Amino acid sequence: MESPTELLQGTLDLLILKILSLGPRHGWDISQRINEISEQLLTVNQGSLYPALHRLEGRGLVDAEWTMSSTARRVRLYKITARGRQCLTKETQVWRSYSRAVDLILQIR
Amino acid sequence: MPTIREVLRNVRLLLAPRAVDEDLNDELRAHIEMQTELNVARGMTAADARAKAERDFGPIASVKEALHNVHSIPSAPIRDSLGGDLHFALRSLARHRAFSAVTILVLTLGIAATTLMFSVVSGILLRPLPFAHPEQVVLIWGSYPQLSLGFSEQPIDGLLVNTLRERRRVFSSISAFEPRLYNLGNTTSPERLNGVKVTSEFFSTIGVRPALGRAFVAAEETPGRDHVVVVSWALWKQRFGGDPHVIGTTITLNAEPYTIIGVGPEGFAFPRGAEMPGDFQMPEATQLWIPMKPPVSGPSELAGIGRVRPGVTLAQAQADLDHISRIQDDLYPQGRGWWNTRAIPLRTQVVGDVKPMLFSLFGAAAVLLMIACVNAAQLLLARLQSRRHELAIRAALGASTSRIARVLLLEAMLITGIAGVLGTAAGVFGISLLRTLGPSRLPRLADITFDWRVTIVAIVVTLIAGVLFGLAPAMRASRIHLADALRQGGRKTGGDALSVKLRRALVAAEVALSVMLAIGSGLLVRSLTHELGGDLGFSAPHGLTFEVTLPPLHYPEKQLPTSMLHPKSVAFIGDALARIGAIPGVKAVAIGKPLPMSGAQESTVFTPDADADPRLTANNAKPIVEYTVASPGLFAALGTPLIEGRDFTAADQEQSQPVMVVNRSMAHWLWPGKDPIGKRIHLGTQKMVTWITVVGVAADMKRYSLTEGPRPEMFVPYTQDPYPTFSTMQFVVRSSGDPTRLVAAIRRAVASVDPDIPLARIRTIDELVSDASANARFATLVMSSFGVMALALAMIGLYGVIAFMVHQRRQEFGLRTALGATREQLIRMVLVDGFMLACVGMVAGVVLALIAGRLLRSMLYQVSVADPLTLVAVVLLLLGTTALACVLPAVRASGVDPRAALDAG
Repeated sequence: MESPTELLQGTLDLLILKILSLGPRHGWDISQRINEISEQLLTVNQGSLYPALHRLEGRGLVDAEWTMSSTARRVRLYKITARGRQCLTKETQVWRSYSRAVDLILQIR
Repeated sequence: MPTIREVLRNVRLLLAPRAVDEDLNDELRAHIEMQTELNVARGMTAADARAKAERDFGPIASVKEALHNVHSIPSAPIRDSLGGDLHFALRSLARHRAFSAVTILVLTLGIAATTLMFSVVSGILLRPLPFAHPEQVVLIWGSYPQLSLGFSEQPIDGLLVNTLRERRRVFSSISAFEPRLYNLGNTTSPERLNGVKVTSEFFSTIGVRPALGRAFVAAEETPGRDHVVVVSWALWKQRFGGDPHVIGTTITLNAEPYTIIGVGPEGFAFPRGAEMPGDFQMPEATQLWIPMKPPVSGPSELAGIGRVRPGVTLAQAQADLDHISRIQDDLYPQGRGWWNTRAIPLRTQVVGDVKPMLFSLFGAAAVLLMIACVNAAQLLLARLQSRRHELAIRAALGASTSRIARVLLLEAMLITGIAGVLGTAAGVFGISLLRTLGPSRLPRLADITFDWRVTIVAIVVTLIAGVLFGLAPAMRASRIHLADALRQGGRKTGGDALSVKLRRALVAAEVALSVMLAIGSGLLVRSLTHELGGDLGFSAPHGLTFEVTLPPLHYPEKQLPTSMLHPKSVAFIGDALARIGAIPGVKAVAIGKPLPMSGAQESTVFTPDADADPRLTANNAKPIVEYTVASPGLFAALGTPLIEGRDFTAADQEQSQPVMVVNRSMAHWLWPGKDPIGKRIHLGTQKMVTWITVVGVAADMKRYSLTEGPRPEMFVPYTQDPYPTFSTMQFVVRSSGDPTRLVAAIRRAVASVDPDIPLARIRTIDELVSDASANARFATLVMSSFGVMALALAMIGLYGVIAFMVHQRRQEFGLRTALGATREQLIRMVLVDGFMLACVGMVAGVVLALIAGRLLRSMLYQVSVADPLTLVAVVLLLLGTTALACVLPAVRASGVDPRAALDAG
């Protein structure tokens, strides 16, 4: 197993929005999903996950509210907002063109 | 744009940072617990699972620190929040002592003025009168709209009182009263007391119960049983030492024994002079109430008071009174038109005159408070500008923007709070000052007490202003760009364009409001000058007046069949005049009833001779004139010029030809274009056909107020007066020096005629005149102090803005100097800037004043709201103030050293 890669600066927000676009989740859940979907290749540093969530909330891209989880625990549930979806679409395109550009350059022989 | 959710969160953060912090803790704890559970599920022991979860999570403190940064919550040690911030804000206020002191002073002035004026308004106008159901009480006056008497309220007839007492349709009770003076005590040292004779239902009608003893019963109206008295609380305290056993004791009034049956409730002194129409010679405060039967014949000074049944409106009460007038008309057709009556609600009667004055003054105080708030905002904004550097450093040292904002806000609130406390204290002090020094003609002076309501309003207003203007800089501060501010800090203490505009707008508003107040006070000053400078028709300096009352027991009131004054009274007057006249320093002495400005009125109906203008008696009209009984020398003693003919002499006696002196208005009115000397009238309508011949014409004099127009008036010698209601008479003495020095000698002179007669109401004519203008002077004084304060505040504001502008443009001035601009040019630049600002405010202020001036109209005498002199004066004053505010900054601007300024850039 490869050792997990640290996330690039700025991509965490994008990943969070993507995960939340699939449905509301709480913080721990989000970090688990990122781990699973990336096949354990990406680990999310908890120290940056929560600040990122709160920042997104502050920008109005996600909403949060206190609810009870399935395990009857009081958790803060995050939901993507309409503005969040717009942002996700835009940022996804930016990321795609960015990674394609980086790819193209790296393919030069 | 912040979302609503964000704003809400920020508000919550501001108000309860701890709760937000708890939320963060909960969220992180939940995360670790869930991770622990997962680890346990993967087969670890509980302890290992938790340890791994915590290790994976990393140091919680640093995560929280990061979160705090997102939320701008100050981190732990300094967060212990309100206490720390308060401490910090206090320290900061103490460090900027001058700033804090000025701001606090400014707000204190505003709060104190508003508190004081509202307490006055509330005490006099808003608080219910201290009687049971005061809204049911009306005063009933005779009303003769066909006559131009100056006062619409005239005495009523005793017949009306009797009719109403039997009728009781809309009035549940009715009473009549008339003032009467009493000499208290036996001959050793009589004291004059203000009494009122009342019919038996007086106390129940007005709605008070005696604090001790009882009120009158109907049987006590009967002569023989009517020697009972209710004394006022004040008299009881002061004369009887508050003795509870005073009930049943006997006192001597006008040499007759009276039994005290009751003590009035505390503060009750109805009727008070200031609360009654000016022509009723009501005592300043009533000390005694004595029962009487309603008098049904002869001239009277009766005032009526009635209590309507619950639910009866004023219109219904008036309709009932009108109905009675019609019945009287039918019963006594010769008196048709003389039975009209008018009901006036007690409250309107008591406070009617001063309402516009008090509301104007309260409005002025509110405007002053507004100016004070604007000024405080100015100072806060200015202060922020000069603190940008400090704030930037704080931000750099880790203070979050919201924390800085909170400290700024706290400072603003602290200033407001301190000003609130000081302002309230000053207001309360002002109230006690007003109650002791206030104008005697202000009604309900004793009811003025500190009113919490408005102080709370004033403090809330200031707080809102403080928060608003504290918040504006706070929000600005939170947007300070660290690097920018640090680079510029202390040099270009640059306000951004917006805050400069805001400050200029505030100053313009301040100037506008203060111009409005200055114009208001200017108008009042002008009006007062007109009042005091007008021709009185008599001379105030070196004049002394006093009253004596002859007890009816020794000096009978009537002497049938001639109805003239009793010889004993005539002898007393003659002797007293002679002995007073012999005192060195007395230039003239006379009696006159009533004397001008003494608050009393006498008038009479008359029939003119055939030479008189026929329009006077057209349609059976009955002309009426002011009627004064005089002794020879009255005109000399008053300083009233005699225009034509002669004064009375000792030769004008009961048996000689009846003579009179008329004033100029009466002469013009009756015999326009003819010589009035030798013309005749007779008093009344038919019965008395004693013709009285005019022997002299005197100048018109003001009788009741300084603002009245001239009225026709006639004078008759006291020896020929057919209306002998003469038990109280007024003396006037003209002296060569200070008239008050003569009082002791005059006392001795009167005592040498009759040792039982005390002197009362010893007043100089100067005092009478100043009393008559008391309310106008009060209004002028208050309004002018507000105006001066407002102008001073505007000057501070203007100076602040201009000084700031000069500081901000130092470099530019330096550059201009380097490029050859002269000092004069620079000074002119600054002055033009300041004057532009002042002029904008001035124009707005003049417009405001013209609009608001309408409120003052009823208080202005011979001055229009748009008085050009006042406008010009205020404009000049403001220009002067502006020059004063601008000159220092302008000079500073011209002295900028170009090198230093350029280096600084």
